[in-house]
Amino acid sequence: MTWSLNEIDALARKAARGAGYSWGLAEDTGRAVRWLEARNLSGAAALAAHVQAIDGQGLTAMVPRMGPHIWMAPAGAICPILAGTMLTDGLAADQTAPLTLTDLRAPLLVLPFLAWMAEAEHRTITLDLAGSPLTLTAEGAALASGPVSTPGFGTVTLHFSGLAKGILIPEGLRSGCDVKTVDLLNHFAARTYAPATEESRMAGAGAGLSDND
Amino acid sequence: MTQTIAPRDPNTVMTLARMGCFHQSRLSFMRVLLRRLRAERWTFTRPVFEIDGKGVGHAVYTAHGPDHSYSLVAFANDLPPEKRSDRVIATEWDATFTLFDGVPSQADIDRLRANIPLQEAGRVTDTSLSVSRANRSVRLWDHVVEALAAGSQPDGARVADVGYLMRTTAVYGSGKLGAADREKTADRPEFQAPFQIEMLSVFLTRAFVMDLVEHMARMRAPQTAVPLAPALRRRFGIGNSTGLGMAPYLINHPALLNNWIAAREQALARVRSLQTALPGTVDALRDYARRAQINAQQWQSDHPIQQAKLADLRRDMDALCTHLADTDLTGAQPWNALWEWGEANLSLEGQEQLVSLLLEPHGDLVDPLAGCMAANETAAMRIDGAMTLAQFRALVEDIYAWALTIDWTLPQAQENVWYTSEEKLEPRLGNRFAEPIEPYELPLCPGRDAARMHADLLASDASTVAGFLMAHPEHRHIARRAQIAARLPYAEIRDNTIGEALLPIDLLRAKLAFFGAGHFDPRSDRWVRINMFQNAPFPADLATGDADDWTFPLAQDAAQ
Repeated sequence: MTWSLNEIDALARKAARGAGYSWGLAEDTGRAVRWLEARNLSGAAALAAHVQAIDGQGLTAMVPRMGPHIWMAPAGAICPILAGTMLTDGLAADQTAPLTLTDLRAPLLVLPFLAWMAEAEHRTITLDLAGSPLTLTAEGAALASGPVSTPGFGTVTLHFSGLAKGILIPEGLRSGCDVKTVDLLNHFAARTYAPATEESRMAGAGAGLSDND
Repeated sequence: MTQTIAPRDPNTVMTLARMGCFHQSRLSFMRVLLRRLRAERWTFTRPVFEIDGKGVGHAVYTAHGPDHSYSLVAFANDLPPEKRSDRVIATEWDATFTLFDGVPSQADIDRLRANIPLQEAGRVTDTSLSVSRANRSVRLWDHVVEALAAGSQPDGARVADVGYLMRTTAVYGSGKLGAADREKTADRPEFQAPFQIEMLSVFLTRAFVMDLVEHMARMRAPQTAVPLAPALRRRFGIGNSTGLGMAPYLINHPALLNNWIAAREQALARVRSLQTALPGTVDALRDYARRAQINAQQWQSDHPIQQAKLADLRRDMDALCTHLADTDLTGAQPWNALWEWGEANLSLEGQEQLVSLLLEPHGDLVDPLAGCMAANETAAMRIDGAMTLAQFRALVEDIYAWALTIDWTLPQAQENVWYTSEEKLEPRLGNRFAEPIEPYELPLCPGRDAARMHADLLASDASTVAGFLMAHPEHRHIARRAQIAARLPYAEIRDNTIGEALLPIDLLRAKLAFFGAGHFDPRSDRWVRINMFQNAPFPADLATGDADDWTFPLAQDAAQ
């Protein structure tokens, strides 16, 4: 069974919201997971593992502090969604020297944000993701030289003067995400749903005149 | 001096009261579809129709275009009356459908038969472009079957009273339940305009339903049954019940909303800018106004809100016809003069009807704008973090000026909460102060959220949007909307979507008018009944008849 990318996007968005991210960050999370799943990279599984790992923890301790060469979080580990949105928003746009993201959780999730950053800033970004060399081109394409690693945790250094290398990771229209991952994400998404009451059942959907004629 | 007229100000257009007065027009999606099907000489076949005497079985209707074929696969059911409900909580329907990309094999049909009748409880693959279901209008269905079986035609007044034999209760597209995402088909010319898949599905559904009712009459009385008379047959549309689930759509798709409204506003500006009336258009406009007057008289609703609006519309159409009868339209910019008269003399219902009427005789100017109504929503999502905070604050103060004057601490300003119910995963609306639902609030209140953000913008010492959002991730959603609305002027509804005065049916009407619905019949302030493709040609008639002139009643029909 495969999933439409809209389904995966919506599920990831709701799961991120259920895990405590603001709606705006959750929207970016949905798009990021969609970007990864469209490239046959296991973004949904990465998000599921990430939200399980941070469940119950406050997000503020995972906001990276921005140093000139190193971003690191006070409590030890950087959130890929917070770091990713900061990068896409242009907070490292002036950076030309290598930038190290220390102890990044679910590093795969930061890839889409780097692709959008590369495209917005018209420059090439190269990195090594746990042994997988990756390039994000100024056109926003992702290049890899082999299978892409999906570590749960790791330090990643971004280079802004490297040469693009690898072959294009092709973009498809479906997600092959497994049912177990979808169930996990649904568990978090369910936190955004209000329990039904008889009152909401009647009033909330707007019962009025009979719908039968 | 004549001049080029600019499109209307978004602060004028994007109010809920005005959007709740929109009417169908040349740019409505049903009409865009039928013009294309005719222009490209699409052909239609019915390769399968296997339905028994109880009305159980399946049928396939295929539309063949220049490059692709699409098949409506219909499953008919013998539904016990107690199970018939239009609410999203229903689990069985009289008929269920999918629009299949191509022509289905027997294996495809077997797989679909195990899933389509289940609707939300089933799964489809990306060979399905939409999934939908419909219920019978029991009183009209039984009457029509009985009449035809007895060899006579159904009562015209009863047909007019209901207007359809089945109503759809949901038409899911774009990736729902595993169906193909829009990206799969967006580069096909026939699906470039919005909602063409859904409209094609309903157009073929109408053909199926009419065949089905005649088939049931024949099965009941093979010796005496007759088919519907063609003129009466065309008076049946497909009903549709649209509820709260659809209301947030326009808020959730700001770039798409902009492109719909912008196309219509650009069309109006083009017509108003004409220096002189084009040949034939003055007589045509007078004729359309007369037909709109008849339409307003024929349009019925039991709901007090709509009855008041219909009184406005009827008065407006009377005034318009009187004005047109004694107004010289041979002067400079006659349509602009007419428009300015309308703004001064008509209610919102009449003004928005006048928009549609002004577009009607100007197909060459208007119809190409249908190609601008789709949106690349992914491209609109990126936040411009480098924008200075001063610049950002200025645009927030411009776009949300209306919201910054509201005292959001007053209960009536934010009485409603949009939320998703655990039970059916559909958007609902509840009272913030009466139900424990606030923690589940969906971001469907841009005005209040912009006002909250504005307070933090005033206190922020960040220099850019990126810096501000790092400190205030809670404003990321509304910050993105503000930047979208800065680029796309009609992206944002400039009104309170959670206040005590909110009527969700205003949102539904705006959307359904773009679909091409004619007679809106609210059944409460939260759901509305419409009729789709009523009086439209059937697939087999497209090649020979007029594919586009069916939305207003003909003047001679009023005499009947």
